[in-house]
Amino acid sequence: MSGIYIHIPFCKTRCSYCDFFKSTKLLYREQYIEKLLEELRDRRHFFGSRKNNLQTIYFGGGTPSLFSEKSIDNILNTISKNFPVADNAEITLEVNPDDLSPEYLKALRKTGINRLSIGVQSFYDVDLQKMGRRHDAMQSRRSLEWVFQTGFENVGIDLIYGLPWSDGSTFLSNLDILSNYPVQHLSAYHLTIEPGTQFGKLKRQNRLSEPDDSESEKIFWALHDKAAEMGFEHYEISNFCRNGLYSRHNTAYWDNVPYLGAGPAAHSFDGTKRYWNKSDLNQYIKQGFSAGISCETLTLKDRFNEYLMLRLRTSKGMNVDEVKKNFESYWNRIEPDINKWIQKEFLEKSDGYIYGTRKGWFVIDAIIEDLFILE
Amino acid sequence: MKNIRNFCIIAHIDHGKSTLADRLLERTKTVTDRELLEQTLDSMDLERERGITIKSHAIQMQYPKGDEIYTLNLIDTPGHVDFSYEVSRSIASCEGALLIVDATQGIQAQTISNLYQAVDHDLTIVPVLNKMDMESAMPEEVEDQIIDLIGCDRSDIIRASGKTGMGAEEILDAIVERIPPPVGDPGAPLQALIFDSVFNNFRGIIAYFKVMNGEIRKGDKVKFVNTGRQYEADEIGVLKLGMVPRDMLSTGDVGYIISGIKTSKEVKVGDTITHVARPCSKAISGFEEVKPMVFAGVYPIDTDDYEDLRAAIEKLQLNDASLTFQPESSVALGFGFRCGFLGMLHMEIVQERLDREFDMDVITTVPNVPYLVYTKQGEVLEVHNPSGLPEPTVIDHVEEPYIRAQIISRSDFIGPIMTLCLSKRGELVNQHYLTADRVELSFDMPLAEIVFDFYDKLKSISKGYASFDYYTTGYRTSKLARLDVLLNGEPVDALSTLTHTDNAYPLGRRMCEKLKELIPRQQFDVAIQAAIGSKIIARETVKALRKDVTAKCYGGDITRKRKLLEKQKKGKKRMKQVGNVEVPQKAFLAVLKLD
Repeated sequence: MSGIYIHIPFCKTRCSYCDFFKSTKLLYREQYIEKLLEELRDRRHFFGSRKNNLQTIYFGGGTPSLFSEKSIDNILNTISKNFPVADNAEITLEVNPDDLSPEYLKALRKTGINRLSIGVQSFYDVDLQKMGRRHDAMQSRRSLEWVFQTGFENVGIDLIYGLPWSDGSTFLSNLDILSNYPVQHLSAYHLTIEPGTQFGKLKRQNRLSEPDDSESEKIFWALHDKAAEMGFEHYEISNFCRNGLYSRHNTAYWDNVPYLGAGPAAHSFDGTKRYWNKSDLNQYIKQGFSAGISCETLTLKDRFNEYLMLRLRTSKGMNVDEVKKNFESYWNRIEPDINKWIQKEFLEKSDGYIYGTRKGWFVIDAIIEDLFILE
Repeated sequence: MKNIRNFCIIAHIDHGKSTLADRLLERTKTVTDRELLEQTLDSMDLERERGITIKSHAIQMQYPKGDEIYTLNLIDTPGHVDFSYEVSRSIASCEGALLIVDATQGIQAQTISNLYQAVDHDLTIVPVLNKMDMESAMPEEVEDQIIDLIGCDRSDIIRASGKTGMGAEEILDAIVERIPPPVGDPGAPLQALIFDSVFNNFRGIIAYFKVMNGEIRKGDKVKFVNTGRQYEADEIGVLKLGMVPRDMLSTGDVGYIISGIKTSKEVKVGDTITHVARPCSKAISGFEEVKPMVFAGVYPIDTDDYEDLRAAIEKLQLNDASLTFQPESSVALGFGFRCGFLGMLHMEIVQERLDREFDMDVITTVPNVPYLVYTKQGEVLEVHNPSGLPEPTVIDHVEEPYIRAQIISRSDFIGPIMTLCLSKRGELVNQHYLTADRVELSFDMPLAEIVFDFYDKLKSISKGYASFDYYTTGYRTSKLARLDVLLNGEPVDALSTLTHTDNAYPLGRRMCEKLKELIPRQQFDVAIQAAIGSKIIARETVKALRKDVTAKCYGGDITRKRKLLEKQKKGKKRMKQVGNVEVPQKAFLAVLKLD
């Protein structure tokens, strides 16, 4: 079991809320792909010599849909030449609605892409404009229709809630629009105003502020309930799916499955060590990944803390037998605290799993922090 | 004996006692200029900074007059209400007192209560008007106050200035001429009054005394009457700038004794020294066990420092017998000590000394006074902390300490002062005009009421003009409640207070409001509740800070997020964890700063 993440750090424009690493200089695309392929080839032994089928490939960004079907195909070919890709691998491409056309979608299908994650963010133009998105609501709806006409079945969209100018009911009506399409996956993120963004600047000038936390929590649970009515399982804090179509790639992160991340700023994990590429596109293009790679061996404590942090974000929670088996002494240390949180009804235990309750899930960071082992 | 004059100085803080005393030391050549560090008498740093003498000392001067050489013993007195018992013992060792009044300010409450004590002990009062060099001096008006107070002639009042040295000679002459020599019988059994003691790192405890009757020689076997302990007088002597050993001290002399005593607890101010072989028939009257009147928990901020804190408090106690302590534990603060102090100033001094001399970071909990709890079974318990209060069902009644408070102020502030004292459960006992625009007010008040923000309020409503003094007058029946504070449903013992039932509701409400300001937002709501027994009387909520849980958490986010949460957890270790709530140190004293 393993996965590959391909980072595409290019965008046509920068969104008002985004501080993710990327460049708006599209000129370097060709050189970038060369270096990317070089990295994939050089790291073909990353998962070890044993037969380790690649289960997922994920193109994220930035804006991967700025790349032509040829480029995508090129990258996928290199991957399959160097890694044993499973027959039923999940291959996802993040796309922007305004980059899609029936032709492009058809071509993508031929490359082997079998899952799309569409950056819809909102079905309302006012939201899209304020967020500095390139597309409008019409383009989102049209692209969804094309996507399904082309034959994609495993399709997800992203939405953002907690927009300062909007309210909970407006956000929730996005789901009514969504219900017209057989979308199987939904990622809903709360807006975070980051310092280095356009929104961050407005916040400093007191022209923008995040909504009240209790309001956010209300929206979170209203979203949970409404999505459930529509048949969506809320399987991780920010992720929902229907018919068992989890994002297998992201789920693997939370299951501690090894992954290789290619491209500047991408992270990799081989089971014990975490590697990260420098987030310097120019250096990457000039010298390749090896000039800026760093690595850290995760101690048992680090792995335990990450395990706690990632598992408790999922609705299923953590498996008690699994923790006991892998981290026995740490488990013994935190068990009284776990019980304390269970008693306070922030956590619940059933069928051998421990997970956040309705009272605890939205505030799970505080609980995770409390349970962390520091030394 | 006829050439000995023992005297003390009665003065309000800032009225220039120390500078004037320095002039006397200079004039009698007791100290050279070089030795005269600003204020010789105040030897602790802390004293010098605060400009008050915390602990009393004594110094001997030689003054030639006519054909005689006189021995003048100045017994210095502490200048704060918390130490009024020590003042009374110093006064009991003297035959006279200099009453020093600031010519720019007039008589203050502190002066009056000490003056009354001196008059009660039949001391001869020599009134001195100090700071005459100041332009704002108003000698006639202040002289009127003094005449009104002690009934002397205007010509008896000496005009002086510690700054210029004016009047120093006149004062020395007056001490010799007006103050009578000590009386007593050198042939009688030894009877010496301990009026103070200090701790010396090399010599142990040094006790200061005045011989009331008889004689004491080096090497004598002596007994301290009230403690019953026996010692050998390893060294005796008189106090000049340093200690000057002598072989013998006789009736009327003031001196020191070193007898290998290790802890200050064995030497009680007011105790009587006598001979083992030929004891006096009775102790000198007026001895009292000094009892702490304010108790508070003192906890190390870092729980690992508990033993260091114990060592520090034990060291402090070596030269401060009035400080008491016993181990105490708190769910919220861990292990610490319940300390007893003479009063609020004493408490502050101890805190500062722990910080300065021992580098100890401590949390002090809300102080309270001692209560007497009478149970239905007829027992009497002295309760020093909120957790010591028995269940209401077993209590018959409770008594709390009362004080007589004396406040002197400009008469235009009478209204607000009355309002303040009455709101503090005070009862007006007496109202006396010292002059047309200066009034002395006496109140009977519960001591507990002045522990909470009384001084500050008095100061602010009187624009700093009111002066305040008190002495304890005994216990009275009270209605006492224990006010608990709960954070997310869990009682925080370190925030519990004992309060009069009438104050419980407003106090609970204000505490909740104050804590709401002080407790930072956490990742869940924090309910702050005030309760009496199981009844919640006030509630506030610190709303949760919580949205970062909804950020993405994929590949590269994982390490970042783990490290962030680890860092946050480390940061919180510096706060006190109460249940699941992080409480900053300052919250534990919040109740003292309510407005």
